Amino acid sequence: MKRWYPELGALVLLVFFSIAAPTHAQTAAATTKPAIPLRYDVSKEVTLDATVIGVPEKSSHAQSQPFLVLQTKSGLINGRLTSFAQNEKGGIAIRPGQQVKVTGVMMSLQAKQVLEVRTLEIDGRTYQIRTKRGFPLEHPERNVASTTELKGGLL
Amino acid sequence: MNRKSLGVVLVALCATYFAGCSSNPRQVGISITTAPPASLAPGGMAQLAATETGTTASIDWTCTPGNSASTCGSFSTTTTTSGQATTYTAPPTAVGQVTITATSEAKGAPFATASVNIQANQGIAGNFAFYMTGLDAAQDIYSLAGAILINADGTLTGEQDFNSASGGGNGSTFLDDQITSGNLSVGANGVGTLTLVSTAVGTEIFTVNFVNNSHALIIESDGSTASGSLDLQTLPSTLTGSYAFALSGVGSSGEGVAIGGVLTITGNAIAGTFDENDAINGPTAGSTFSGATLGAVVDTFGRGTITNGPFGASAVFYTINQNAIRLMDMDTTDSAGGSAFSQGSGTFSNSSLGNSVFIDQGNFAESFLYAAVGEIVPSAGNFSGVADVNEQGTGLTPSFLDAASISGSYTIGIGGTNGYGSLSIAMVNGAAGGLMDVSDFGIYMVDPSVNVNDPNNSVGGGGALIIDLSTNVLGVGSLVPQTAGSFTGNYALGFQDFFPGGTVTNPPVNSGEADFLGGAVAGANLAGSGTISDPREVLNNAQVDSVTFSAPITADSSNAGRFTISPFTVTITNGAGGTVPYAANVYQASSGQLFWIEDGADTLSSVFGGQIQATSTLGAGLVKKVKKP
Repeated sequence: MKRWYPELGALVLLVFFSIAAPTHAQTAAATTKPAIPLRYDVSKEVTLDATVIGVPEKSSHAQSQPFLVLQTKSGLINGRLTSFAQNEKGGIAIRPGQQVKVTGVMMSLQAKQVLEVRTLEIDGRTYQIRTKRGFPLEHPERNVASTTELKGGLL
Repeated sequence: MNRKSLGVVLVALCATYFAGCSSNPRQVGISITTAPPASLAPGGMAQLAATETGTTASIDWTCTPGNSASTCGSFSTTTTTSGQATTYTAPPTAVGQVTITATSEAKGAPFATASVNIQANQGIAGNFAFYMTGLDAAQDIYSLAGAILINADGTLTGEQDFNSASGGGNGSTFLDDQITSGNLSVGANGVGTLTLVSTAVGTEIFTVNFVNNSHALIIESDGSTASGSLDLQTLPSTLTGSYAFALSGVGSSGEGVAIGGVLTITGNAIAGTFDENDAINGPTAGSTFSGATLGAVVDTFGRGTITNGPFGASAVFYTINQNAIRLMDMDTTDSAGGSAFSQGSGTFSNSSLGNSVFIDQGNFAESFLYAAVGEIVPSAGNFSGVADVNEQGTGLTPSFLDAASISGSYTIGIGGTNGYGSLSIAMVNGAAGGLMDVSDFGIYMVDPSVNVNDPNNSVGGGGALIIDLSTNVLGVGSLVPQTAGSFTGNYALGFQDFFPGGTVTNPPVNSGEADFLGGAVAGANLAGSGTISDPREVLNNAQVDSVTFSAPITADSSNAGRFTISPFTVTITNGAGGTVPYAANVYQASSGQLFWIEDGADTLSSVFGGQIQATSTLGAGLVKKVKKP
């Protein structure tokens, strides 16, 4: 199957975000649902400088989480990326020994404390991996320019 | 011989004659005891045999029209004895109805006939609309919808719309992509392959399983993978009235989005109320819109446009019939696919929601992959029920619930908007917990005569489309009426499996989407075969796997309508092979419609949800036997 992937740069991206307002008439949402706490609590975010010790293994078993092993000043931590960040086609290139800055929330996952990584700064680029609600973003490797706050919004 | 002797002989002969022939004549007859199937493909073969009574005369085989190999077929031997088989070979083209005649050479030439319809693909032909959502070869979440005219010989043409856009120039948007050629090949069991060749996308290959002559489950199986539906079209002159709708896809920043609601088409104006769950902004409910426009309707493939709707500034739809359309967000910055179904002319209230079965599943842009399937018993705005949920990657222990008791409340007609409602599953200890992260649905009622899972089916109608408005998950699904039924017979099965675990030791990646489509006989076991589209080769060292399975079906004695299928071990028969040790649970809406979900107890860390639909015999052929004494 043939697919096309236009390579647009940061300038185009910025232009897009500036004009992405919905064009149809609609009212604001009548209600906002509900009071259940977010599993990813952005108020608990931490930002850490670290050295990459290990990268996620491409294992056959999906049970193995895509951990990024990081050496921080306070010790080793496991950083969890997303499947989109690890695509074999165009995923973020991360190598052991690289210096990174990660922002995320420490969460308990399968009896392990892991850093749910929202942003990853590496080689002078900042990748948006998750939304501030912890949901994955498609193709963070292509959203390298989207270091400004995401707007979201309607389809 | 003297006179006396001659007289005795004559009397004896007369007595013999009248005893044997006149007063009790022997019955001579013929019937076709080994008949052809109702339908045969061109060039197909079938065994035939006829049996005589009262005679052992030879039998001559002929056919109409034309009595030639090219017009109606041929016989391996044109003369048989009673009970002897002959092999019938259908003509090389789809000539339609053929009459086969077996004529006895006995006195009076009694004969019997049988009919067989010579048609490609079990007679499946005409205009069909398709749609699906999935993950393409570039790992873009995508939606695809289109329509094709399938000719009697299986060749086809059509058009489609493809969108995997997610902002920033990611993905692709192909509007009105012409399908210049293709082919449908379907076996007698309804399983087949659909190939499309389009101008922009190129060649696409799908696996189909026809539930009946007007509806098939479909998956893409060519390096992209997706699940959806293929449905016979009956094109109305225009669309009008109120519809429920639901779509899912990816927003302009690459985040997951689900959107659903109700809309009314008046002329070319569309207005309505909708809910949305956006992975950036979170769930919102009760937004209204107006100013959306229904474009010129409709080309010969039932394609039309909608501009400035809540599902995109630029959207297209493909009409199935007056009551059902497939919707695609065709913006170049975001994408989504889904459906809209007529609400009819009735008024909905809380009492419109009866005992129901629901399915709810997110796509790959979920924070936590999940699916939920269950059954509820509503009563005056409250409900109780039982459901299964499977969440992976949440860190919750356990990561699934089987047959969890749930309760909560619902409202139909919020704000006076007909058929627009919500359902909340009661929290546990002040947090989501009744069904883990699945806590809130938007529900959008459909006409009680409209079957949302098989839009041409005259039974199984009603219920609602739903979107998941929970805080930590988002997705889409449906909620359909539950009636008593059995889980036996022939079924088409499909599921969309996310983050599948596997048993192969060296696949290239560690996650992805796989889509399954199969056929099975349900009884004590669910036994059958199928195809898994697994582009990332997580389950095997091939992108498309052939599989077999035979799994025990156990009715849940505590929850009528719920079944366990465990272990549901899928054996891969191609490539390196292997097995996938799934477990699954089923909730039954009716004998013809069930939903199933992967049981998290299988520890595979994958999540699947999907459809199980009863199949009927395909083909429009008519077999009849005529006996002439």
